[in-house]
Amino acid sequence: MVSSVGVYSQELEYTTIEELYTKTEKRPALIFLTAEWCTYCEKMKNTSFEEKQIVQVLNERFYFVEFDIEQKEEIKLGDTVFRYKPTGLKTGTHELAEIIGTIDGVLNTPTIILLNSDMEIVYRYGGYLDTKQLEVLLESI
Amino acid sequence: MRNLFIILFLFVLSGSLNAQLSSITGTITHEKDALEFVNVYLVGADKGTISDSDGHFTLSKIRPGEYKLRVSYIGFKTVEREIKIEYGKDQVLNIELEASEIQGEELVVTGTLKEISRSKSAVPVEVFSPKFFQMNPTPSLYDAMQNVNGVRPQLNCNVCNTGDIHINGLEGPYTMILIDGMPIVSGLSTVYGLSGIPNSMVERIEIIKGPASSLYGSEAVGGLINVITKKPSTAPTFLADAMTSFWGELNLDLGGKFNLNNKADVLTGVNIFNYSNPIDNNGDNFTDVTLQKRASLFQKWSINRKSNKLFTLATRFLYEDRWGGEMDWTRDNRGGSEIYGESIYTTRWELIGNYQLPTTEKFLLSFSYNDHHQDSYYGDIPYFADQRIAFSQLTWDIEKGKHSLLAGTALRYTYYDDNTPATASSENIEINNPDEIWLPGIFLQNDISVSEETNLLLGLRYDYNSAHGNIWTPRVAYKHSFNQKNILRLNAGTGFRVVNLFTEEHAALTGAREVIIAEELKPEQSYNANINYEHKIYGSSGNYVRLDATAWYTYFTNQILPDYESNSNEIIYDNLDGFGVTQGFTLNADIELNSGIKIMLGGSFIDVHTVEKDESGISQRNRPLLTERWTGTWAVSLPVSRSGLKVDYTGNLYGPMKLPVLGENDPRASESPWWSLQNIQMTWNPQNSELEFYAGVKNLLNFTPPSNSISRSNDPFDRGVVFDGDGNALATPNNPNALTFDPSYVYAPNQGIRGFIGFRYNIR
Repeated sequence: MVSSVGVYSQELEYTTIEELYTKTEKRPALIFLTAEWCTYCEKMKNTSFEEKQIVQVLNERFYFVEFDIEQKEEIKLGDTVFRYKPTGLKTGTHELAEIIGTIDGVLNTPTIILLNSDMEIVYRYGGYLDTKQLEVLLESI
Repeated sequence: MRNLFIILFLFVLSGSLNAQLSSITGTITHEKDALEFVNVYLVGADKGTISDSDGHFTLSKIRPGEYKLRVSYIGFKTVEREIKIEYGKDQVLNIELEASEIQGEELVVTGTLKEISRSKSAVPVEVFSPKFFQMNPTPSLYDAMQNVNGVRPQLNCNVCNTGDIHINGLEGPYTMILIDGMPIVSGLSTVYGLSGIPNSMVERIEIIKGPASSLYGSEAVGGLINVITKKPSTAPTFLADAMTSFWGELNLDLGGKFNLNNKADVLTGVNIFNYSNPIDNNGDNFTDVTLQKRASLFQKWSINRKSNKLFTLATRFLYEDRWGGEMDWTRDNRGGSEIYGESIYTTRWELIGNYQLPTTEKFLLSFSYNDHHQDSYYGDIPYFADQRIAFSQLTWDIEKGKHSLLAGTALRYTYYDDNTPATASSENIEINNPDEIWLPGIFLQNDISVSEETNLLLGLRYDYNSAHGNIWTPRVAYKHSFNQKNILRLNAGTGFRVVNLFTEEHAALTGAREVIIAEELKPEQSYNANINYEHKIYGSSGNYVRLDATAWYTYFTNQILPDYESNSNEIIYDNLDGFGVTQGFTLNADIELNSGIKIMLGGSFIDVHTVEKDESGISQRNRPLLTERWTGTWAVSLPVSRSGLKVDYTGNLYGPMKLPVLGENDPRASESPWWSLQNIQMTWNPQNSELEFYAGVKNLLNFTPPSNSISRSNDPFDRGVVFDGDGNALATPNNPNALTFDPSYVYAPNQGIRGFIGFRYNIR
């Protein structure tokens, strides 16, 4: 079992939100909201998202999207453009992150958003998830 | 179809289209509780939405027809309903969801915001979240700084308890304090810059030790503390934090936000602090801790513009009434020479604004203004002062391939006036001549992403000081990430500073010492370099360790140093005829174990010295007063099972410092001992509760400085002191050590062990 996983040992494949919009193969997706200064995001990237089993499940069954809530680049989906919204000197949030990631009026990082293959948001969680918790989450969809 | 995108478009389109067609509204519940974020999807109409915090949902603009409504949420059974929509007929549909058996393991909310982190920038910026400061709650950010390695709040006066912030052994004036990146705190107001910012309004605090980016000018050689206030998306709807200690200190923080017709988001914060219970535990007949009443109001408007561009306006108002002195002092004694007291009334207001110009290019106009008025008496010596600082800055952000350019121009105007000869005309002391300084500047910074791993930041700033002429400040910062876990940073730059004597020296104000300026002071020039290495370890079972080491070196020429030692009644200011050095290294460790235990440790070695030739031409090495060689801080957080109970143990340790004694016969120790403040706290936050309770004990070791710290506290007006012709105190039978009244011998707060209790109420 372990050795067969070893053969597929691979790196996590990233998809962008724009690509998600144009994919023809239906798959559920996981959107991972991060920020540059977010230590727990980095921790997840260096632990859970490096775990072979999780990487394999994500690569084979999901689309994985990492989205920096403070990214400056515009995102164009169809005819609509989503922009970075500055809130002060050198600080701000991307409106796309605000729309999809705000839970209870607060946008946290990390935030995990799960979409089913119909691109319906089925689950959101604001906070660090360890490998086991993430596994349970991915199995439930 | 792609529901996520429909949701996104709905957010964008709602409001712009008229609802001519029918709509479905409803509430989604589970066992009478409203369910938030349930996916509601109308199959066949390609419309979807999510329920809000009250479980409500609305699907509008639906054409007549037959549809299937699907309601789904992880952990619950999906519900499908056939629905017939008739033209112009709105429907209400309430749906109860049943829990499904395959409910995932219940998730306990753990990490979102780390207590301490480091920004990705090439300039070493440490970021502290409010969570860090909550481990040892303090009524003001000034006191909170005691928890940060290498940063020490230094009280300058035993009586009025005003102070400044020392970073890596450098005095307060080398520290720059900013609010939202604006230099609105300086000189007169250092202590007020950090007290009276409601904690509820703080999103994070960024600390840069050593010279910062050229964006911030040339003064902050010691370091920079930038208080970033919350933005509407991170602020809670309502927050209250109330704390009291067994000394009778009461601190209340209130914060809230509201949205004004989608035109603006408004954040409001209020801080009230009251300590009105004079205590004299050390028996010197002087108040141990200064009595304080403080109220501060902060409001920030984020105005929504169609273009999404930034427009914020913030204002802060602060009023403070503090006094310290002999225990029997009353307000009737203010300014009198019967009973000694220091009484300070402060009124201060600030305005901070940011406006992005409506141009395609990214231009940002920032402006701030503050007005600080101090009405005070130190014993019978009046001190009335006004300080106004106006600041404006226009920056231009250009992103081009690997280059991220920032060009800008800034103008700072400082006005200072007081009732002392410092602001009198040099020809006629009767004529008032307020001090006005214009400081226009331009700067250019290029942050180059040389490669995926390497960043190079080059900056150059030019300022023109109306009193001192040209000031050039170059900066270079280099960052190399060997991988995600090993990062190296190198920084170098210069600094420039002019001393502002009368606003820096408390002892001059109290009349305890007279200020002597030996010659015309030249501006001080400094050169700094530092190196930082960060190493992260991610254990397989979720353990995490971050190690962070920094070494620095600063060389000063023309250093302006106060000399307390040549004459005990004077502070002599002089340009150093030699050079000054501060150097050292610091190590921080941030450990987070799988079990939830967090340990943050920091230690620094600091060497501050000057080298100057004495009269016989031999170079003498001298260590300035109140600089510690060794310092350490720690914070340990232990979660107690899953009950929501947490224990925090915080503390700091300082090595000996040289202290300002009054001559050789002064019985007070000329060096402070090793001392440490340690605190323990328990926080209880029942799960899903908006209420959090905390209680603890501060200064567990009950450390207080010696009770004779104020010299001749029995004779604060020096009535029993006999002076010689030069103003030196003479030894007399009732003054055998030839002392005068002096409250400026202080290295630690006078407050011993005490309990505290408080609660936080947080509605998101």
